[in-house]
Amino acid sequence: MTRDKTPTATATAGAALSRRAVLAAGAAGAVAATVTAPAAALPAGGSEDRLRRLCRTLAGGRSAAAAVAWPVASAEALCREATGLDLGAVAKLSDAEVLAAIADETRRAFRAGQVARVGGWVLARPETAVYRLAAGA
Amino acid sequence: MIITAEGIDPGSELTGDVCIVGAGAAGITLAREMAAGGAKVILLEAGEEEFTDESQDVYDGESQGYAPIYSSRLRYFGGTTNHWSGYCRPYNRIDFEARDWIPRSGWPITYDTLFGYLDKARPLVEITDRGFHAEDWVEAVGGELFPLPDTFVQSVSQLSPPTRFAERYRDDLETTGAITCVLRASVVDLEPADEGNRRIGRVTVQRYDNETFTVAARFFVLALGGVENARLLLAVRTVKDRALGASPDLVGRFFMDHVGADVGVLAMPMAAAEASIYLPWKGRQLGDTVVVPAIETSDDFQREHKLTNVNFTLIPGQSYGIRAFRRIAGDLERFKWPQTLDRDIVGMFSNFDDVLSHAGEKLGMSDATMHFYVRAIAESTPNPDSRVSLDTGTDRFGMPRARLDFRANDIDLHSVDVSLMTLAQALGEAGLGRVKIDFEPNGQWSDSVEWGYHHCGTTRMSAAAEDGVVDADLRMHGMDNLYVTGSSVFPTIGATTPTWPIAALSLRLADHLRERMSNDS
Repeated sequence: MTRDKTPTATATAGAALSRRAVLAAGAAGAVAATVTAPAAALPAGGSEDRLRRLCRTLAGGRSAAAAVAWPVASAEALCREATGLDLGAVAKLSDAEVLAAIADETRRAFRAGQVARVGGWVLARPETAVYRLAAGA
Repeated sequence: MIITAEGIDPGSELTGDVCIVGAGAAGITLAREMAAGGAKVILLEAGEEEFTDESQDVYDGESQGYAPIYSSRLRYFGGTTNHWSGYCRPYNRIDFEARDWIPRSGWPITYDTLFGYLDKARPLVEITDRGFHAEDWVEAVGGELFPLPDTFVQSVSQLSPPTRFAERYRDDLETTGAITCVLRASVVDLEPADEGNRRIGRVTVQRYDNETFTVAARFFVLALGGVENARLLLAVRTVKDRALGASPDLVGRFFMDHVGADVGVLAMPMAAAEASIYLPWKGRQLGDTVVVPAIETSDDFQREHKLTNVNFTLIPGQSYGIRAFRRIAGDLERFKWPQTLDRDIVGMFSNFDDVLSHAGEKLGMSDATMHFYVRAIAESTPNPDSRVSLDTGTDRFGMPRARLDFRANDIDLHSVDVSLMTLAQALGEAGLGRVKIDFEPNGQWSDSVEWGYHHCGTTRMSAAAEDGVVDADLRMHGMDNLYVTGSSVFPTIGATTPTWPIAALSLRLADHLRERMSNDS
C-alpha cells in the first residue's frame, strides 16, 4: 500500500523530521489522513500479540530480545521507546510503519553510539529499555 | 648437500660466500636464492631432521608474562614452519607509517618495497596471486560480505598448505651443489676479523659431542628466529665479552607478538549467517586455495582514533553453556542421569543467555540463531622493557638460556576494547545481529589472552642506530658483514602473520647481498 507520509504541518514548516517525530505527530491526529491501518484490521490476539510478532521479525535484523530469545512480553516498551507512541497509537499504524520506525531508531542509536551493555550485550537505546524491563532491572 | 655436523672434522673450517645460521623460513629462502645467483652457501641448522627432545631442550628458558618459551617455537630442520598454521595476508599501508601515537613505529622501507618482494615470495609459501580483499573472492567462492561501514575492511587470508620449508625444499638443498646444509650444528660464537669488531671472520660451531669446527665466509646472516637471533648476540656479548654492532643495548628489546582472545559473541539470524562469506569458518575453497575472511579496522579509523591494528575473525560455535545444556538434555532423553551434572549446571548458568536462546529455538519461540565467537588478533607495539634477555642457567652447549619478558603497552589493550565496541555497533547498525562482550572495557580481555607465537622485534630494523639493531638492508648497524633476517627485524607487526613477509625480506636480502658480491668482484 502506497501512502503519502508527508504531513502537511511539517512540510509547511520545512523541517526534516525523523520518522519518529512524523509518527508521533500522526498519532496526535495532525496527519490522521496518512494513517490508514484501523485497529479493527489487527490480527486476532490484539495489539500486544501483534507487537510481539513484529518484534520477532524486526526489519533488517533482530532485536536483542529476539537474539537471546528473551521473552518479548515487553514489546510495548520497545515500540514506545522507538516510536514515541503508546499501544493505542501503534495500533493505528501499519506493520511496515512500526517495523520501520523501530529499525530506524535502532540503526540511528547504533550509529550515534547511543548504546549500552546489558548483560554483556551491546544494545541500542530502544532495545536497552526493553531488555532492562524484561530482565526486571 | 645435506650433512650432519658429526661428518665434519673437529678443528676444520668450511668456507663459503655466505654463512646462514638457521634453516627455517628465512634461512632456507635466503640459501636457495643466494645459490641460484651463484653464491657458495653454508647453511647451519642447530636441530636435526626431525623433532628431538634433546634439541628442543636448548629452547627451554624462563618466560614472564608470556607463553612457555619452550613450546612456542621449534628447533629442528625447517624451524617453526613445522607448526605454522599457514595464514598469509599482507601488511596494511599504515603498518609501515610512523604513527605519532605509537612510539618507535614506522619502517625504514616502504610498503611498496616490501610488497614487491611479497609478490615474489607467493610461490615460496604456495599461495595464489589473487588479492586479499574479501570482495576479490566473493564471486568465486560464494557468500556475501557484511554491509559494514568504511570503518571496517573485510579481507581474507590465503592459507598456505602450509609450506613446511624443510620438507618442501629439501630436494633443492640436497641437490644444489652450491649449498652445504649442516644439521646438528649449533653456533656458539661470532668471531671478528678485525680489532674494531666491525667484520665477522668466522663462526664457531659446536657439535652435540662438544667438538667444534668453524665456518668462514664473506657474509654472515643470522636467521635463527625472533628469540634466538637476540639470544646469540647477547650470549656472545656476555660469554665472550664482545658487543657487536652499534646498538648492543637494544638487542633483545622491543619483543612483540600478536595478542588475541575470544572477546565476544555475535548472535545473528542463521539465514544471514549462512548467506555470508563467514560460514564456514574454516574457509571457502577455490581450487586448491582456501581463504578465511576477517574484519579489520581501516587505516583511517586507526588514524582517527589513534589505535593499533586489530582484526576480527568469526568462529561459528556453541558456547560452553549450550554444550552443557545439550549434554544434560541428551542424557535425559535417553533416560540416563547426566554424567557431569554438577559441572554442566555451572556451565549453563555461566552462559545463561546462550542457553535461553538455544532453548527458545528448540521450542520454536525464536528464529534459529547463529552464534559466532568474535576472535580478536591485535598488534602489540614496541616496548623497550618487553624483551629477550639471558637467564642464569645454561644449555648443553654452555650458552645462557633465554629469558622472555613480555609487557603490553596500554594502547595494545585499549585498541581492542575500542575496536570491538565499534564493531559491535556497526553490526547492530547494519541489522546483522548483536554482540555480547563479557569483559569490562579496560583491557580485561587480556586476562584470557592467547599468543600468536610470532616472535618479533628483538633486532629491529631502523634508519638510525639509536632506534634499532639493523639497518634497512638488514645489516647490523656498525657492522660490515653481519646481517640478521627473520621476524626479529620487524619494527612493528601489524595484525597479520609473519611467515610470508619473513620469506619476502629474505628475498630482498638476497638481492642486496648479490649486489654487494657483484660490486666486490
